[in-house]
Amino acid sequence: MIKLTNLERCYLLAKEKFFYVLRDINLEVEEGDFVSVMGPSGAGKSTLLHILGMHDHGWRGEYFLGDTAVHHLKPKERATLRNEQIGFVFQQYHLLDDLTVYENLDIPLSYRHYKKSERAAMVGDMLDRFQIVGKKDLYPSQLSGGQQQLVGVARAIIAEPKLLLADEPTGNLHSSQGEEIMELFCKLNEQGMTIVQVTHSEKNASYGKRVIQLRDGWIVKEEQ
Amino acid sequence: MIADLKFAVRQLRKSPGFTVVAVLTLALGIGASTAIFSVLNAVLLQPLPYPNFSRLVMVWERVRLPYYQSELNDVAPGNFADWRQQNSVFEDMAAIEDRSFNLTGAGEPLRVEGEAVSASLFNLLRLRPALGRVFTAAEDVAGGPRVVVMAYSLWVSRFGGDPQILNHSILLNGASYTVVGIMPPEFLFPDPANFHLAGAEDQLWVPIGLSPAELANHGSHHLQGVLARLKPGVSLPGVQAQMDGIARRLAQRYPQSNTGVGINLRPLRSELVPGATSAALWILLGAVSFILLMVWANLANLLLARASTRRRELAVRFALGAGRMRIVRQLLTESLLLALAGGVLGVFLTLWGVPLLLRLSPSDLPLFGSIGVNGPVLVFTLLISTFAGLAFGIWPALFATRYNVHDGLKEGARETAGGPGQKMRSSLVVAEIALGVVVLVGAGLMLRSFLLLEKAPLGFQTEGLLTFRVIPRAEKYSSLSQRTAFYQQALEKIGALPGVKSTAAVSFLPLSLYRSGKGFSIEGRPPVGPGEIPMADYNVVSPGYFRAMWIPLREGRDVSWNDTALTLPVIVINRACARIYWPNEDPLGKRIKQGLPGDPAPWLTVVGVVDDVREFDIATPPRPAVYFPISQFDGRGGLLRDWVVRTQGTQGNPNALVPVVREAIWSIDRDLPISRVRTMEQVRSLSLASQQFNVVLLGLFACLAVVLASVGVHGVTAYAIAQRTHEIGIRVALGAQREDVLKLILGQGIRLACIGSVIGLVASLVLTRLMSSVVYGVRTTDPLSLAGAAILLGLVALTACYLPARDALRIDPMEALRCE
Repeated sequence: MIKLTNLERCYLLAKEKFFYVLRDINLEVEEGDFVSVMGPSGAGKSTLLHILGMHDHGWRGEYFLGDTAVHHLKPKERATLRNEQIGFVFQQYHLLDDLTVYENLDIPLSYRHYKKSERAAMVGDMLDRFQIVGKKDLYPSQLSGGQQQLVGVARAIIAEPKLLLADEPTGNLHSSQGEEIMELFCKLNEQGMTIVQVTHSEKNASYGKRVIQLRDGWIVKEEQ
Repeated sequence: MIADLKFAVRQLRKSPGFTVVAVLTLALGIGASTAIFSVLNAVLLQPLPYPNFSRLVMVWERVRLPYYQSELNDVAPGNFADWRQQNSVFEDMAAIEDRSFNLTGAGEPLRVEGEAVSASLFNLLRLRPALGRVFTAAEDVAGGPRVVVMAYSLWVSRFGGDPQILNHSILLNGASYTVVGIMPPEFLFPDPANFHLAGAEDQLWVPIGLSPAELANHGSHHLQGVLARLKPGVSLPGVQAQMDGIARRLAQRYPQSNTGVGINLRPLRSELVPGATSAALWILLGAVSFILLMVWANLANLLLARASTRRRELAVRFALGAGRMRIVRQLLTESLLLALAGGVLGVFLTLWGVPLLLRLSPSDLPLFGSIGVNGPVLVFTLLISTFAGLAFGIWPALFATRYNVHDGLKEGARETAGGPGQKMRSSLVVAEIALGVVVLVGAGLMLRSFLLLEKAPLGFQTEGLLTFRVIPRAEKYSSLSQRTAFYQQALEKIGALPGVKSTAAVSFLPLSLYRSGKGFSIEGRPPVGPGEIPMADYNVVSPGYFRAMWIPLREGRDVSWNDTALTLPVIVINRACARIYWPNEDPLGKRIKQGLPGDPAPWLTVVGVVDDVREFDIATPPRPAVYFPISQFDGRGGLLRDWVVRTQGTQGNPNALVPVVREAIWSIDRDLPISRVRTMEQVRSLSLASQQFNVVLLGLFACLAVVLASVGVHGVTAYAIAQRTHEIGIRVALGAQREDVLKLILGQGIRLACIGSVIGLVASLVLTRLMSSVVYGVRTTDPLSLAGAAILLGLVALTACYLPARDALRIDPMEALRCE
C-alpha cells in the first residue's frame, strides 16, 4: 500500500548547510499491515508520519500510495488523495474546543462534501460503534483524556480511510485508557485498516505486526 | 495612583508601536471632533452680542395662499403699525428696511450697504454708540432730518477715524446726511442678509421715517423684518398666541390684503443662523462623533488584544493579591493616559485643521465668536478625551480581569475562537461597521444632493458672464426718463466695448436670495375671493437681458427701449407663469394688472414668454415670474441694480473687462460706485458653497470611516487567525482545503459585515431623516445611497478579511500542531 524509495527530508540551516531529519528511507507497508515506528526523540518519527499523511511536502524521493505516485502530485491533488485514503490520530487529540463531540465527528465529512443526511447517518453510526452516543452534545473540555482520544480515533476513521496514521496516540493517557485505544486499533486492523503508529512504548508497539526503529533520520532496524 | 501612572508610562513605552498607533488614531478622532466643535461653538453656542439676546425675536408675515406661500414674508408697514399698537407682550418693536447708499464726496465713490430702521431699534438691542448718539423718535418721522449712524469700520476706512466727523455732513445718494453717531467695532447688526451676501455688511443706518399713509398700507410688503423684544416673564408660545389673535383680527378688518397672512415669530438666533446651516453643523458634529466612536471601538479592540497577551502578567498580579478593582484601575490609568496624549495631539491637529476648515467653509457662515482653540473648545476636548479613556478602556479592563488565575499562569494559555474576548471584539467591529454605514449613507446623500444641484438647470448660461452692481441713486435719477436715459447710454457704451458680446441690467441677479412676490389680476377673469389672487415674482429688466443671460425666448418678443411710458405697457412672463395662469391658452396679448381689477394700476400686455430661471437659489424651483421693461416701470423698486456683461465666446475671461466697464460707467457719472464685481460662475459657486462644504467634510469623514472600519475588521480577523492557528492546523490535518479555510475566515468577516450593515442601515433610516433640510432632490431613504454604503463597506470588510485570510492559507499543519 505504501512504498517509499530514497526518501529524504532536510532543513536548510545556513548557506548550503542542511540538517537531515530523514535520510534514504526505503519502506514498504502492505495493505492490512500494522506498523509501529519507534525511536528516540528527534529521530524523525513524527516527520515521517506527516510525510505519509501528506502534511509535509518538502521531501525528496519517491512515495507511492497504492498505485499513485504521490511525489508527482500537486499539493491540491495530494490533499484530495489524503482526504480519500488517510485518517490521522494525534497525541494531544486536537479536538476542536468549540465544537461538540457530534460536530467534531462531522467536520471531516463536511470537508469531503458528503451530503448532510449521509453525514448524520455516518456520525450516528460512529457514535454507536464507539458507544459515545450519550456524549454527543458534550464539548471536549467535558470529557476525560481517554474519552477525548476515543473521539479523536472516531473522527480519524469516520470517513472510512484505508490508512490510519497515529502520532503517539496514547502519549497523554494513563495505562488503562492506553490499552483501550490500542485494542481498538487492533480491532480496526483486523477489519482491514492499515495502521502506522508512532510510539515510544514497547508495549504499544507490540500490538502491531511490525516495528521500525528510526535513529537520526535513518531506519536502523526492522522487526516482525 | 502615582505608581499606577509610572507603571502605565512604562507599559506604553514598552510597546511603542501600539502606543503610537493608539495615540495617532485618537488624535485624528479627537482633532476632527474638536475642529468641528470649534465651528459649531462659534456659530451656534456663543451668545449673541446683545444683552438678554434670548428675548429678541424677529417678526415676519406667514403667508399661506393658494398661489403663494411664505414663512418669512416681507412685512407691510400697516401690519407693523397694527402689531406694534395692539400687542401687550413686546417691550417695543422696530421696522427694518434694506437700503444701499452711494457714498461720494471724497475719493472714489463707494457703495455702502445699510438699513433704514425705527429709532427704537438701538434701545431694543440695548446697544450704545461708541461716539455721539443714535437717532431719536423725533427724527424717525416722514420728512424728518437726514441723520445717519455709521459703522466703526466705515468710519476708520473712509474717514480715518476722525472724531470731527460727528455732526458733519456726508453725501449719500447725492443728498447731505448728518453723522450723529459711530457704533462700536463689535456692533453686529441683526440682519440675516448680512451673512448671506458676502461683503455686504451694513455700515450705515438712517431713520425709516414711515409716513402715516405708509403706516396705513397693508398691501405693499417691503419691510425686511421687524425686530421685537419680549417683555420679561412672557413665553414665546404665549406671545405667538396673542399675535395669532391680532393676525385674525387684521384679516377680518382688511380681508383683501390680510386673508391668509399670519404672524411668524422666530428667536433671533435661529433667524441669524439659517436652519440649514445649523442642521448641517449638527449633522457634521454627529458624523464626526460617529468617527470618534469608531476610533474608540478600534482602540478597545487593540486593548482587548493586548489584554489577551498580558494574561500571564495579570494572573501573576492576581496571584500576588491584587483585587479586581485594583487591576481595573491600573488598566484604566493606561487607557486614560493614552486618551489624554491623543487629546493633546488632537488639539495640535485642530490648530492646524481649523484654518483649513475656514478656507473650506462658506463665506456666509455667521460667526459670533472666534473659531479656534479657546476655553470652551479646550473643555470639550478634555471631556471627550477623558470620556474616551474611560469608554474604550473600561470593557477591555473588565474583560482582562475575568481570567482564571490558574489558566492565566499556564504556559501557552490561549483563548478559544468563540471565547468572550472574541465575542466582544466581534461586537465592537459590528458596531464600527454600523457607524461607518451611517456616515457613508450621510455622505452618499449629501454627494447625490450636491451632484443634483450642480446639474440643476438654472435656465441661463453662467460661463463668460461678468456681473456687477451699479445703482443710480441721486436726485438726477429721480425720474423714470432720467434713469432710462442713463441705463440706455451706459448699456450702449458697455455693449460697444471690444470683447463684449451683449450686456443688460436687472433689478436683482438670479441666485441672489432675493424675491419679490406680488399679486395681480387677469383681465376677463371672474373676481377672486380674498387670498386667491394670482401671485408672481416681479423683476425689472433692461432690453437685451434675456439675450445676455442666454434665457431662451419661447414666444413673442423681448422688451425694447421703444416700450416707453407713452406706449402700451408690456411685460414678459416665464413659462411657469404661462403654464399656471393660462394653462390652455396662448398668453401672448393677454393683460394683467398689479393688485385687484379695480385698482388704479395700468393693464399690462404679455408680449413674450421666456424659459424658467432659478431666481432665488439653485435649490428652489422656478416660480411664476413677470419681467417689466425698466423704461416703463416707475413704481417702488424701479431700479436696475445688477448688470451683466457677456464676453465674446465662452472662453473669454470676464474679469478682463472690469477696468473698461468701470471706465464706461464713470465716463457717464463719476459718482457711481461699482460693487460686487463677480463672474456669474462665482455667484453660482457661492450659491453652492454651503453644500460643497458639507459634501467635502462628510466625504472626508466617510473616507475616515472606511479606513477605520477596514482597520477594525482587519485587526479582528488577523487576531482571530493568530488565535486560531492551532485550530486551522487541525482542520487542515483533518482534510480542510484552501477553500474551506478561506470560507471559515471570510465567513466570519462577512457575517460581522452583514450584521453591522443591517444595523447601520436601520440606524441610517432613522438618523438621516435629520438631514432632510440639507439635501436637495433626494429622499433621505434614497435606496442608491443606502445600498451603496452597505455594499462599499461590505467590500471593504471582505478585502480587510481577505488579507489575513491569505496568511491563514499558509498555515503549515505540522507547525500549527507542534505549537501546542
